[in-house]
Amino acid sequence: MSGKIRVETDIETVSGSGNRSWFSPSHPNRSGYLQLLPALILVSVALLAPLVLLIVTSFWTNLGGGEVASELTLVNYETLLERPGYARIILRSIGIAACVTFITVLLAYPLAYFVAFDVQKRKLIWLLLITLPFWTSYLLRVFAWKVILGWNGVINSGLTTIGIINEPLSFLLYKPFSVVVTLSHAWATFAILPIYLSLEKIDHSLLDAAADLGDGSVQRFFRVTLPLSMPGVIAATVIIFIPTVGDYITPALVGGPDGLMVANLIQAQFGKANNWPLGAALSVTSIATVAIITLLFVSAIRQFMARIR
Amino acid sequence: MNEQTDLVELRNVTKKFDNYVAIDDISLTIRRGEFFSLLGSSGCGKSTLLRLLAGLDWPNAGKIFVDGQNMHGVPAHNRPCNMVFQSYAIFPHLNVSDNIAYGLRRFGLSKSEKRKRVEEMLFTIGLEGFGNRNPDQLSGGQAQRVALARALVRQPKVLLLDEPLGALDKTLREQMQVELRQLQRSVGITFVFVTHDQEEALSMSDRIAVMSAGRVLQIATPVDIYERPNCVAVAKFIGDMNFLVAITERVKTAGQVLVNVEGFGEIEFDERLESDRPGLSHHVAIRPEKLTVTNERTDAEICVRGTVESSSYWGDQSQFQVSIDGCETLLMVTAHNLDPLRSYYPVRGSQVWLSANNSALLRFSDSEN
Amino acid sequence: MIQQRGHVGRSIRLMFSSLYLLYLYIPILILPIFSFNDSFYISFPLRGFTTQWYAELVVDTSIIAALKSSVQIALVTALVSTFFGVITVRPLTRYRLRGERSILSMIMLPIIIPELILGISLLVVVNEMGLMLGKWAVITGHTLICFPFAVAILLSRFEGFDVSLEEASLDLGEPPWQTFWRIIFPLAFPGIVASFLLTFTISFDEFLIAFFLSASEPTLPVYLWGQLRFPKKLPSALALGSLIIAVSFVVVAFAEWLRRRQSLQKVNI
Repeated sequence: MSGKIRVETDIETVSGSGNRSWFSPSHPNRSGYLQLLPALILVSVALLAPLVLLIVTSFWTNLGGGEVASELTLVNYETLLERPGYARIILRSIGIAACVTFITVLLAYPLAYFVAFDVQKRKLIWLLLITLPFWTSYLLRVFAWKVILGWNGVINSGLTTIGIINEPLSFLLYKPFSVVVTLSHAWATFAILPIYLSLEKIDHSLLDAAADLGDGSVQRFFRVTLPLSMPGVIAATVIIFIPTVGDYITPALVGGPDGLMVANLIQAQFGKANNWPLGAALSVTSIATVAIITLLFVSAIRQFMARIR
Repeated sequence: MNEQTDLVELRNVTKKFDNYVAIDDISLTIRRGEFFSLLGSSGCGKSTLLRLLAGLDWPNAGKIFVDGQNMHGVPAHNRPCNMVFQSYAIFPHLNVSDNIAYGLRRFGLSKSEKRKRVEEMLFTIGLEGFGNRNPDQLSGGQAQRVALARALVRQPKVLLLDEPLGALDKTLREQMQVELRQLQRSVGITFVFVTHDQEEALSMSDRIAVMSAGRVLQIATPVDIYERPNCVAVAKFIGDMNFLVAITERVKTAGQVLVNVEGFGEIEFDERLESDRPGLSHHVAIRPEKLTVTNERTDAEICVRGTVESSSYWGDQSQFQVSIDGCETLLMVTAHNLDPLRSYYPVRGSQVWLSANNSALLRFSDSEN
Repeated sequence: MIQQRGHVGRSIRLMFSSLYLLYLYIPILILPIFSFNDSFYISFPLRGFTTQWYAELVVDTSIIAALKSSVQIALVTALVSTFFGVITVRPLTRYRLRGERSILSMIMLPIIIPELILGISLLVVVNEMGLMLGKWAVITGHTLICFPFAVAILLSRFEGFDVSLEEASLDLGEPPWQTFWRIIFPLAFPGIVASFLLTFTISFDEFLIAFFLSASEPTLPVYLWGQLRFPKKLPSALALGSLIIAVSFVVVAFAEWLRRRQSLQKVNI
């Protein structure tokens, strides 16, 4: 016998020994959550806490001169309800966003379809070209549109030079129209990619089967392709609608007084008007409104899809 | 556990994933220098067991010993085992030499010593000169050998192989089976080999553990597993088997048992089952190759008449489905085609005689397990 | 494949797609075109080629200061976001954790919430806590919006990662820390670089949050915004904008090429 004493320990009772690695597979969940801690802290500190504070601020009152009273009241929300101007701007923002979403998704679909179905070898290049504009400065792109749509801008001066028009077109800039045009451009990539991804996933043998069963190409599109691409379309719709409602830069640069949106109003409260609680209340109201609309929209679509099955 | 002969011991090992029991209270020992296979269909827990040995996963209960040392709390990188992964897991950003030398880092060898070992290993696996190749330039068989070399160069006490030949085509696989066996014999390291392919296990192993649903059904040499399966599950899993319904008629005082086997009639067995009693319904089994088909009666211990329902010709062998009187099951018979053109060859509809010896019959008291 | 796919339909789609792509690029191309135009007005017809607007940029000290701020902030943001991204993505792909989807949704939230809201809520926090506005506040805000992008990029990279490579390394005797440096990091490196470059670009280009939080140390986009009010400064603003676009283009094209090239290759044998 070797004289070695074999230490037999029961699994249940051993706490961390020197050999036990932090990455030990015996408690994968625990170490996994631990590793996620920094991210969770970041999100809580930088996102959740500020949002909560914003909500709290909306219940405070503005005393003028940068002072606020911290008792909780509903004064700000009452102001929003009483003065019709606010509701009007919120509705206009929603309307513009809905327009933008509709146009962008409508125009994006054929391009997504093209890259998914018609392009075989150069998909990478097309996708790269589609993604690149998104990464450039949003501010610069909006500014470019301002330049393009202006009174003396590119379109007007170009058309005048060629001789198509004698007087500059006035409807181009500082109107809701300009906001819609600019925003439809800004979010194009965010519309194309989700639709492309869901089109790409479609099993081509489904289309072959449909053809075999007598469907022409138009019917195949409406009965097979379109329904299967709906997840992508819905994703695109939501991704575009929500941030568009709260966009600041575009209405600020090209909207003019008629194209003002809710974000500009909010910014004013934090800037010149110096009524932070009201601004906070306006923010909360906008977010809540958008969230409700989105949820209603998504559930309506779901019910619709369920019914046509 | 006998420390002289036994290298690995599992004692009441259980592994659960949430509520799913993957390994159910398994105890077994693996001897030094043996080629030990874990055989079973997918989901039986064989790969899980291997991972428990490697330290990539830890048991919920039970103990694992390697060379007398309790592996509890010992992480994978400190264990004296090395694994050849099913997907080979060759590091794509390192060339072949660096892959093989990867695990040598913590041995503190000099550069020249490391290089020597790698060269020797390349020679052993038959890939001399491949040192500078990149993994994407290797074929499946070559990658498999690199994975093997990478593990072996560390001279582990146990080499764990997780279905390493699964991705290879038939010819290559058969060639590798022979090579692996020879390699194991020459280096003398204990191999623990996981496979679902019974022919593979039978041809390569010193001992096989047949597993099903997290349990070990039988551990024995290949011959014993095949000729003397201890339960219906093992009998069914390995090779083909004919099962006949049987009823115990009488248990004699000297220990012999009289059994009525469907189609074969009354047969006397020398050994009794534990549960043997008159009227016990059970199964009697016989391998297809132990039945002979002739066109005349023979003087074998069992000889019955039957009709050939179907016959399949496979070149070196033929398989027949034969129905006999008094038996609901069709009997499967295999025979070597020694001279099919000149000697008797039964076809569909032929009236034949089936012969077999009593000693070829196996008895099982359980119905499914 | 359906053989009789209409060629007519295909050509129409090709035309539409090309036009649409052009439409996507026109605003971006307008700026460089007019930045070389010898005129204070951004209108046709073009009046002659000049590089004076670019020359003006180089000597402008406030531009250089703003540029420095932007680069500093972007560097730190990229480093922090990418680092956080790596340590977050690893447990998400390595282990099956409950509540994974909610955690991921929460991390991705800043992409959907309007930047304005993010900016003002951070402003409120900074104000309430009595902290200072300036570069660190901007870095925090930028990290908040860059982190989801880093996670998205690294997630697709790590998800295709063969776990058995990591297990093989452990099995061959390398402790977890060595395994990370010798196996995980080298293989994930292209994704890490892509994430770094893209988060850098996002932070560099970002306007709104910086607008609220940068106070007296403006970033380049904030500075640009201020210049837009002065007509005389317009062409040099164009020049600046064109430069920013050009840099972003190169950086992003490289990063995207890296990322997509990796995703077309398989990591394991």
